[in-house]
Amino acid sequence: MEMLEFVVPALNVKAILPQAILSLTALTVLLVGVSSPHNKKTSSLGYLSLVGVVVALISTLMINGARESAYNGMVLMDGFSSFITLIVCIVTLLTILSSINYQRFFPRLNCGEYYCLLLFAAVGMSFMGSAGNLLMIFLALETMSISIYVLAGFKSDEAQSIESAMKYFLLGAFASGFLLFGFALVYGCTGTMDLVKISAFLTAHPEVIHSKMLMGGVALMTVGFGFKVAMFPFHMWTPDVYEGAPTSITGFMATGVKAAAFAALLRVFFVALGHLQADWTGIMWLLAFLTMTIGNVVALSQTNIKRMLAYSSIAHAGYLLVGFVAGSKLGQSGILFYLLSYAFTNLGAFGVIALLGRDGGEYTSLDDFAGLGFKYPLMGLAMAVFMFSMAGIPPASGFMGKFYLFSSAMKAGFIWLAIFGVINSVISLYYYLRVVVVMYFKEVERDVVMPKPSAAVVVGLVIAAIGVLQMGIFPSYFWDMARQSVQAMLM
Amino acid sequence: MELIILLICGGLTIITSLLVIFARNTVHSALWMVASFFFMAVLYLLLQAEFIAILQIIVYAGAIMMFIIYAIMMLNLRQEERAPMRKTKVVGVVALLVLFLELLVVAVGRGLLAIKGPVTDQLMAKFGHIAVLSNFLFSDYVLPFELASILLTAGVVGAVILAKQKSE
Repeated sequence: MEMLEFVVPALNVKAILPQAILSLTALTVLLVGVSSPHNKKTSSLGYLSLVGVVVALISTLMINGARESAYNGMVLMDGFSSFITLIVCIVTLLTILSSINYQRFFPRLNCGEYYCLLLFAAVGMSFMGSAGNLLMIFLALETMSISIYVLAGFKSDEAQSIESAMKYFLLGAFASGFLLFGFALVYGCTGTMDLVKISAFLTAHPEVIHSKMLMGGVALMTVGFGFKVAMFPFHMWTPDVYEGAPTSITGFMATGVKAAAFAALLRVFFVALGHLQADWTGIMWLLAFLTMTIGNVVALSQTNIKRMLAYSSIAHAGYLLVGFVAGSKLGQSGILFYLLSYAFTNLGAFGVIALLGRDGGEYTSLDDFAGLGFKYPLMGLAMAVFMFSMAGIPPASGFMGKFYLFSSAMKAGFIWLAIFGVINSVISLYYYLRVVVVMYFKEVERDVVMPKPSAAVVVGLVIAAIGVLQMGIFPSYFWDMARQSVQAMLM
Repeated sequence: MELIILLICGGLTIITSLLVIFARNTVHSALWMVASFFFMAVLYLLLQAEFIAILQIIVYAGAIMMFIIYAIMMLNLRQEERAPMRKTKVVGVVALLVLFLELLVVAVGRGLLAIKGPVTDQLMAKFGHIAVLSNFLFSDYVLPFELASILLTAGVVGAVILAKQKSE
């Protein structure tokens, strides 16, 4: 019988270098963790994974600028994927630094599996930024999601953490089903899963663009991605999941997952389905408006700071969608800039929250912050900077991020959406500044929880604060980087 | 002939899948799932994908089903109590029906002119399904294959750690 010829594929290591480094680190940490199980006091596992992330970060910077499609179009190596991998590495770095401190309150978290899953999630996230095929996007999304489901339930002695993991898992699996169904319909319509080829097919066959099947696919994909970025009306899970998950993981979820999901959303909608832009803009306009408004209005009445930041994360998804609606290169660059700025800001804020802990308990009520501003001036100052950045007050980076997003909407002709965005920012001032007010002006009613910082978390907070201020005061360097990344996107 | 088998097995897949959801007894539900997997395997056979059909039976109807039955046994699940029909449930049912109708409309849409892939019936008839599948799996799709292995590793590590912590 005749044999099918097997052509050995070209293994382009360069295209997947950061992800490969992260995966190898994850496996190493897992093995080291297993071979030294009784050493719960040290944080060597944390530092080991830190080294891997730093190496991955450096390798990302080194391959930045390369522009090619590898593995038969599965991986698109371009400026866009480098930028997303950069964000993912920074997010993972700050999360690990915060975890090294946080695990002193919860020794259960100090094990190889925790860091291994964290790194696997990072692998998934960065592949979501570089995937050039619907199949890769789905696998990367699942790698990220499954790791995070487990991480959310890592404090398995606490009912709240289990509830958080269970809720996220069930709803997340449901949302993945929608996404997969959407992919299937798009594949059925075009006959290919390659993003670039889908776009080429739609250019050649304009009559398919408005077929019901493709529309159905796009709608289902919007549901799937909308769930991951916490877009209205798929945001219901956010507060419960964010509140129950370990604080170090909450920050990771809010920033990393958002960055990865927005990266995949941009790639799929602008590279593959760019022809349908006129069709989705109207719906996305409404969803952007509702997402930011509902997030901000509900956040006003929260007294638990983790819940408050969960609603704020919904609102930030709304701001990011403004850039998505604008649809221009400017809007996409705005999204990238904002994602980086949000990563520094949010992980900084969650880093401060994770400082307030005692053996096996954490203090996340707003009142726990009373009087901390004067007692721990540096910590108070850092938290104030992060809150200013979230609210979008100069000179913090959040201001520049919002400026770029809203101005891109203005230039694209969505004046009202930009106005609603600004109104929303004003609403959000109330609850962000309330944290600062409580820290500095509220009388201390009961014994204060002492923050117990360690060297690692101090380094992390300093990096985050410098990032926020640097991006706010000298934004042009990062803005140029974001713009070049979008320009260099493979189409 | 093929059309008749397709219609019968397709219909039975749908009916048995519905029975999985509506059966009151969890063990019955699991058994209906086995039946559903078998009919789905026939559908794969009709698509010339004999290897996937066999995997469907060995992996899903065999191995995964065993785990589900074990889980039901270990957790000692009794018949569920009938939950009262609440307002949210009504909304859910309505939303589901609307979605279902939409998908029907989508499915009825005709005139597909999608790109034909490299895997054709002739190719599979010439070399066999497994040869074609494995060739693509380790050449064009080698990276998704590797990523899937990371995904499975993450899943196993996660399952072990959640179970281990509880028993401590």
